[in-house]
Amino acid sequence: MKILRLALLELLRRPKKNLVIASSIVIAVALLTSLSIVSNSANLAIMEIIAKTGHTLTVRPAVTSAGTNPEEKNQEYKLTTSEVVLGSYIPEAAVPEIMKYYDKAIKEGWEKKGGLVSNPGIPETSLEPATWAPRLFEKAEVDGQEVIVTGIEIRKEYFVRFWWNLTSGDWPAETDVRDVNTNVSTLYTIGSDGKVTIDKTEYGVDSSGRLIAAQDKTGKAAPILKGWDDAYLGGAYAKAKGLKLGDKLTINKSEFTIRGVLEETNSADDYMVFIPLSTAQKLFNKEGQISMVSVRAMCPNCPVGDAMVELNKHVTGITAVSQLDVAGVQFDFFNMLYKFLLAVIVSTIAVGIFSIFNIVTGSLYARIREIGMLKAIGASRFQLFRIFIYEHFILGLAAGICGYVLGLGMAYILNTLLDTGAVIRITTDFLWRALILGIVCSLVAIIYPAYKLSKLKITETFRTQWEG
Amino acid sequence: MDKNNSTPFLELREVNKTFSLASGQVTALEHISLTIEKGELVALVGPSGSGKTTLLNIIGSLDRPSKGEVILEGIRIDMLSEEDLVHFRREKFSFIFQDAKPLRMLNVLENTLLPFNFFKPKNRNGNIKDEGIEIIKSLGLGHRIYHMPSQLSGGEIQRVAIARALITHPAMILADEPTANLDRDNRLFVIDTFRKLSKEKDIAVVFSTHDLEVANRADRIVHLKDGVFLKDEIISCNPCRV
Ligand SMILES: Nc1ncnc2c1ncn2[C@@H]1O[C@H](COP(=O)(O)OP(=O)(O)O)[C@@H](O)[C@H]1O
Ligand SMILES: [Mg+2]
Repeated sequence: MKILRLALLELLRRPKKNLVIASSIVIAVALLTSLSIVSNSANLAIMEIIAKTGHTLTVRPAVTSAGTNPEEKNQEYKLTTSEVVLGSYIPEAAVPEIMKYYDKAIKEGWEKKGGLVSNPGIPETSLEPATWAPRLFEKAEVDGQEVIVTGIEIRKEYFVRFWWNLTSGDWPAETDVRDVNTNVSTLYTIGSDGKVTIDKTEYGVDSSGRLIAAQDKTGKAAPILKGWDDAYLGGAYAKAKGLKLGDKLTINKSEFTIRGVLEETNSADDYMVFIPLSTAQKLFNKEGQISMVSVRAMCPNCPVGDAMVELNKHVTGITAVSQLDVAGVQFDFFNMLYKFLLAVIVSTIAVGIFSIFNIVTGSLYARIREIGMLKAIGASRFQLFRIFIYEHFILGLAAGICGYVLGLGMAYILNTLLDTGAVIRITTDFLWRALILGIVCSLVAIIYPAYKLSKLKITETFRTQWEG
Repeated sequence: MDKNNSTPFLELREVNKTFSLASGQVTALEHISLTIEKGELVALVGPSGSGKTTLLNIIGSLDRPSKGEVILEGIRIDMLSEEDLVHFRREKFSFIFQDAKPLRMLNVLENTLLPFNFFKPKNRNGNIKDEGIEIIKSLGLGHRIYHMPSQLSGGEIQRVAIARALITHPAMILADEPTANLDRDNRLFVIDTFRKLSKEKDIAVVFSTHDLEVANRADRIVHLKDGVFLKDEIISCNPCRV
């Protein structure tokens, strides 16, 4: 402790020199930290897209005018998974059939690839049936303005779009909306008491065109069914309209309550209003119809491409699209950019360390008589060495912390400049790396001169004094 | 000189010291034989380059002779390893240098106690801090205990060095030109302090100087010229008062 204190005092004694040394380290750490954060965030964002699109297939109605050419049909269209299809529909009842083809194609494609043999790490059980989520898109008047309202099965939807998050609100409880694997024609059930089963017929539009709540079997008006008038808003839409959790929203003539606001995902979802699919079907008079189905494969390295080809070949009236390659190209680009910048920074750091080395050596030699004095009063070589090491450890640690903080700021700037479109993500890993880098830079510069100086004989240090 | 004592406190036998330089060999000391007893105040006098510093370094085990023996309390200290010497020096010697700068970031008391940042005090029953304060006061720095070195005069700084030398209870104090940068009052203060210490605490004090007024207050003056003894003179006026 006493030696540590001496080291700290020594460090504070030369504020200017140490500031110069520290600032070079701060810059190096900040550059590397910001670059790693940005590239990591960009890569994560891209990988998420890959994860989304690579494993998610979108099935939409075949556009009657195009798509006659089967070649064209099989192309992986560069469309976002949430692209809106208006005016053409798939019967909801066709979904199980579509899924049967899909699962079959995945299984066959999997076996063709060698399955377990070529993927020894992946157990057979991971080849689970895909999950899927239907959507119904419709333009509607929302608070007097035309907006795309999307009917979704909320629980299925966020299971397929696993990157969805709420900035506020909650997802509906399990029993509020029909369950993931129930028959498509089933509507709501009330979960808490389990007694009230709501039949489709009890759920209608009144004379003024307003959607009315269901009634229970006894004929009494049921309390407004939990869930039927839930609305979830895309982040950008909520922001633009200043809407928040609990606010009311009028879609066509029916009133909805905002139950949640989604985090922005840089997709069309950000501008949508989501309501339960069954409500939407009723409200827009599209019962039994959907605009598209998103299918999320439930295995890593699933042959989604095979499934896409199979679906397009065998199921008429639909188009299956995936978007794997778009993200891949972006990914390669950022990785190249990252490597280039890394090379630039590392060479800058190498030059930096060299100049630190000179300053450190100079300032140590200026202390040579003090070193002699400390030895003469009883400091051992190792104790002296420790003073130097502690000093530079503290210096490097402080510089690492400052560099990290600066690097965080720079990451946001760099992210904007490079226009990665990624959300900056920070983990403690970056902090550790920054601290280690700072300490290592600082120690590398001192170890050799410290070793040499602590080895000097006392008489030598004092002769240097006379000559200097 | 203590002739009845069979083993002297310190003995140098036929010490030679040569330095090898690129330009050839430099002989700094030649055929130096010398004994020093506890409680003795010895001045090394000689012109610049006569070997005073080299001799002090060899006595204090900071350097080894090229030839000859250095024996302290019967131990050949020129034969000890560097590691043993660290411990040996901590216990036996204190050094005071001509330009003894205390550490700038420590106050007078902390500078006095500086050696104990590196090793523990031995055989003490009192509080070490109190003892430090006592020593500082005894050197007339009672009003400076918590001052920083930048606030001190040259004479006061040299007293801090003496305080630091005393705190370890050395058997011997070696001082290389301790008065060189001081005015007359401070020179005399330093030397009188040495004198008092050697007598009261039975410490052997060896210092170099070219100031004869200072040297004359020692018990003994060893004159050096070109690395050899000119004369070893015992002062009769003890203590001398000018
Ligand atoms: N480390 C050394 N290397 C080479 N020569 C030295 C060394 N130390 C002392 N000398 C030489 O030894 C002689 C005596 O020096 P020194 O003991 O410093 O004398 P003084 O202290 O009396 O001035 C001088 O000629 C000096 O140049
Ligand atoms: Mg000298």
